[in-house]
Amino acid sequence: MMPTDPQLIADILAAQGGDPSAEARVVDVALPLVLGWCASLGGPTVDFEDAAHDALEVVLGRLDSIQDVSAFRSWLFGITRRTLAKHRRRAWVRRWVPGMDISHTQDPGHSPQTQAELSELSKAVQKALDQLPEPQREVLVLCDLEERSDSEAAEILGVPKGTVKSRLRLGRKRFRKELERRDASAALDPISHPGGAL
Amino acid sequence: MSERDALQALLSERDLSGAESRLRDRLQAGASITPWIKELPKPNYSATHRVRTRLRKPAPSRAWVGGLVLAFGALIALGSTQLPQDPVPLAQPLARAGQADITPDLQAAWQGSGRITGTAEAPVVLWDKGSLHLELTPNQGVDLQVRTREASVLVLGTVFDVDRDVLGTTVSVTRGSVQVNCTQGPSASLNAGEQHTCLPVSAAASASRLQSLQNKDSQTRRDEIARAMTLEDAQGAVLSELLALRLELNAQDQDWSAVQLDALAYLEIGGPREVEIRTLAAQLQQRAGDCTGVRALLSGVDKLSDREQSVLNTCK
Repeated sequence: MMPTDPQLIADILAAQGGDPSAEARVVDVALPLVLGWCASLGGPTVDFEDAAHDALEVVLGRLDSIQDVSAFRSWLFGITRRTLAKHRRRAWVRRWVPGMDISHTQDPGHSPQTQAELSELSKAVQKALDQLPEPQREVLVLCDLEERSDSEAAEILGVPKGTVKSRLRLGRKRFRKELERRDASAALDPISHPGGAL
Repeated sequence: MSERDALQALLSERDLSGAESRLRDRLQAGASITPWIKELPKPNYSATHRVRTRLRKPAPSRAWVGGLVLAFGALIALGSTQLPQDPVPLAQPLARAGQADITPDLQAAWQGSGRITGTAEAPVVLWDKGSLHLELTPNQGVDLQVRTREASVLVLGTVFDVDRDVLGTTVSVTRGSVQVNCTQGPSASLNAGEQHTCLPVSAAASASRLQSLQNKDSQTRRDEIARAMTLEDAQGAVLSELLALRLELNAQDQDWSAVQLDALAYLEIGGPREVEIRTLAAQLQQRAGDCTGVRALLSGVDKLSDREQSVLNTCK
């Protein structure tokens, strides 16, 4: 089990009582989690900053309605998941709006060339992950990217630990298959030809 | 060196074709997929800062209120004349179709009619009919409201549309969030991608709305009729039209006793569909074997239709 931090519980309760500084502290905890989930689970078509913003607006708007404060992360993940689903449905609009390129992975620590390569690799991995069913995608991100335990992932997702394990096994297998399939069809071209499709 | 570091090192090499083939080898050799997952985009400090900046600002602590009061008192005590300037009033009609920068932080595009009042800091858009598209820059301290007869929309920094037509007032949010308070029916807090319709506040408008809801399910229309019947102007011709609409629904559901009750209520009030409904009521009475009822319905009528005459004849 992943107990919710007692300080966080206190802050949520205080925020529900109208304490703005407690609300700000809750945002401090929620923002990196939501932003990270949106970035890794959003896929290549979703502007993860927009999605995170919208999810956090919902969080702030519904903070009063949390029934089980100790399950805050699970509640937060549920809101993020629903917000991402909405953004994916609307993603097609972005194809028709010029200038809405999604590139939030700039890392000033790399040279432009390396950055371009990493960015292409990042998009390639995103696309491969995007082919997985959502439940498998979620456990891969929680367990392999965020390095959470099976129990933590199970609590966040609200499913039994055994389900997490089986999803993880299937997800890893399918993810590998996706990468291999793409590799077989010159999938890694973007690494040597930035700008090409995976 | 970790798997991830090794991959990064490979990617940093100038000989990209060599790196590519070694990556491929690594993948085919059945190595862990974890390094690949780690390549997913990670939000950096700038992204976190941007999202935090866009979020609505928490309500100011009450502790500030005392300070503000003290500061204001000090200003008065000093006899200062440097009080803030009066807010700039807004008065702009919105007619036909157009677009305009209402203030530096508020852009509007519209097709329909309405007007803008209030101040630059607290603009109020009174929207009469048609479509209105608004874009408000977030976190600029602008307190925007949009009002229609059916709805009052409180807006945080956002992009959204307001459509007022026969169905009521529909608010659709493209970005950000708004609070929609309906004069009638449930209110809603909307986020990007969501929309909410505030229902008409008059029974007459509701009857028009019902005509446009022919393809909706029976229960939705039934609920709408029940709501409209409670409105203040649900009387006379408007009430009889609502009864006729409910009668149609009951007939579709083959609830003949309810049809009969609606028909009798309609005839009590009167209306343009009187003949049609009287005939129907008579047929139902006849089917129920109630010739007394049939005669009561038809005996005083000056000119009976052929069908009514036929129904009456069966009771002679």
